Amino acid sequence: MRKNVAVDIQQVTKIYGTGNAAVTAVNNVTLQIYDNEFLTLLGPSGCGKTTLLRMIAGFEDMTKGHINLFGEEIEDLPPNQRPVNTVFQHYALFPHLSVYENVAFGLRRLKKSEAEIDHRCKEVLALTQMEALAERRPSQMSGGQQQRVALARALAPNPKVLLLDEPLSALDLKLRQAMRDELKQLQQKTGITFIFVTHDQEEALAMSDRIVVISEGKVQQVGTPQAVYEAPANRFVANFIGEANMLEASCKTTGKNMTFTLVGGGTLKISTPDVAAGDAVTIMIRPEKVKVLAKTGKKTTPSSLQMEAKVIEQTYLGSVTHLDLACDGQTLKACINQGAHASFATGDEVLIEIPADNCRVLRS
Amino acid sequence: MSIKRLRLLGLLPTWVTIGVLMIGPLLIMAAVSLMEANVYGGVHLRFDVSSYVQILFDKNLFDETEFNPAYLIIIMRSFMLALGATGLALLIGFPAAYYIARQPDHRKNLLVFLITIPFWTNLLVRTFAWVIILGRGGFMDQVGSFLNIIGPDESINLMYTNTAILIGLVYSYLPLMVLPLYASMEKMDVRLLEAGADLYANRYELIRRIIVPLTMPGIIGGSILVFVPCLGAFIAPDLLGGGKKLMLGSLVQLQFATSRNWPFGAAIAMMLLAIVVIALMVNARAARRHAVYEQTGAEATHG
Ligand SMILES: Nc1ncnc2c1ncn2[C@@H]1O[C@H](COP(=O)(O)OP(=O)(O)O)[C@@H](O)[C@H]1O
Ligand SMILES: [Mg+2]
Repeated sequence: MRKNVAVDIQQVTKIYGTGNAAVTAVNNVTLQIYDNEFLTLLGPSGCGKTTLLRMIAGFEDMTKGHINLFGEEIEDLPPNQRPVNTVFQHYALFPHLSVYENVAFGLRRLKKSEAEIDHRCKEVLALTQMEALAERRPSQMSGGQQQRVALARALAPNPKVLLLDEPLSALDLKLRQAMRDELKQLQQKTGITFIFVTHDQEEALAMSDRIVVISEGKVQQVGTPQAVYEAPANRFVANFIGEANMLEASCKTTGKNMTFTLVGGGTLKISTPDVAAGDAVTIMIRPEKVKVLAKTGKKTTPSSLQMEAKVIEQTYLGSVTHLDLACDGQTLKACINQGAHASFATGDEVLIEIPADNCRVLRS
Repeated sequence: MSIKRLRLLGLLPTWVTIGVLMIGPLLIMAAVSLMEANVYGGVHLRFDVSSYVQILFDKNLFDETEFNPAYLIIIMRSFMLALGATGLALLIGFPAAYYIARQPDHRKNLLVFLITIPFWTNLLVRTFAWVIILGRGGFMDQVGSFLNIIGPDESINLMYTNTAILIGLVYSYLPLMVLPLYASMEKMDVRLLEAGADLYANRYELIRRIIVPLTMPGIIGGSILVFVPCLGAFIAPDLLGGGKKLMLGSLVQLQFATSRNWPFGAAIAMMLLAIVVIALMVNARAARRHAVYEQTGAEATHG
């Protein structure tokens, strides 16, 4: 099936201010967002996520670049003429209108008939489970309820693209986790393209079809949750999404299976593209891929590197235990399943095993 | 002495102030309005409602009571001019207040300060400035002849018209409109306008559906603050209306200063007061209705 491009972002740059005060919030971003997709813009606070979203909605002019919506130029359209709706970070519900009138606001501006408005309002209020509170004022509701109203209000005009700017960040943890599933289901049910902004990597992994990792206004990686977690494109992505161990190394031989020598000694054979002999690289391995064995343990896989290490701290987290290990003057993190292994005590001398298959070579 | 008594005692100065300075004079005025006039000024201590009757009726030559619209015309003129001035002040003040509220903080304070500056000089002097501007051969006439709208020796003849009074009133009380409007608009969350635009509202609809309802307390407050003093104004009608176009305020002043008919002056003042009280009650009701808007429901609470 050929994917339809919903939002086509072409080399978009946004610079706030001029001269010495100039801030490049979005730096030459090119990105295709597909129709019917749940796309997440993920990055730390201040990386330009909101700015990018505001340019799509039309609240901010672009310094450079183009944005097309379903093949149409939208640069010259004011926000009220773009078939895009936004769920604002602080909801921005109209305090003088009831929940029902908040939801009906967009439909009324589109001059829909009263019957149509009523039908659609009830539909989205049911979808967001807010029918019972339709006559309430926003000030009479909890944060979670306001959040649902903001969602219902943005969905009501049935936009082609829905922009969500950290909609869950003001909710407490329990509610946030429940809303994740709900948002994801809502997206699948409505078929509307969702562009979801968050700084929470867990949220991004749980909900997205694709994740766009952004740092300092630049796109670092675009990919499925699995791709950005398992095959991060660079150190930033590896560190920002999940935990990562970084081992400095240099490339010895080129060819199919290259050999990497760690700075602290030891070698690993990993097959990886576009690295040349002599290149300094970083080898990344996730904590849960690091195997921890008793000192007397046997190597479990042939293509792995074994090193001696010492447990310096352990954190029991129920289903898993996190270990901090001192190894070659560096601290490595490991995450072991409860029960699957022998338990370790702080100060234990252990062997760790780094399977080459789970390593990822990143250019330094 | 119990705490409660002590507290009541502590409030004594307040009650004395309110009693002596506010309720007392009011009662005296109400009493005077119900007494018989002394032609040399002052009153005879006799109950007499004729002052109220006099507002609408007159005695003809045969001592028969008949309807006399003279004062009714003044009442209507006062009403229309006060309403007109309030409407114009709202029309000018609304965009001005909006503009000020959208400025960066330091400029906001400067602009608010500039708005209040006219209060620092005497109203009489300021109104007289308009006599010079509107008068024969004044600034307006010079502009008019410069633009060839009128001949060199002609005048636009604005002086001593209702328009002149209206201009004077709007000028005098515009700050009282701008300040409460500004206070309301400053509190308004601008993000709501983005939300409105996002939901397909055009500029007019943003004003009509979001800004106006959210700044209603300011609109009502400002309107009352302009309407009430306009109704009782006497400087503008005196100087710019030339004393020919009387307003209620001028009438009251005339009764006490020139005609020496205290009861009649007091009766008109009581009527003015009644109108003001009604206006304030409308204000209070509207303010209560809008109190809900003031709590920013847009603010995210946890849970
Ligand atoms: N209106 C503005 N004027 C000047 N700088 C701004 C403005 N809005 C955002 N910025 C700056 O642009 C950068 C990106 O901001 P933003 O898009 O809000 O990031 P995010 O949503 O990822 O936290 C930040 O450095 C921020 O300070
Ligand atoms: Mg943001």
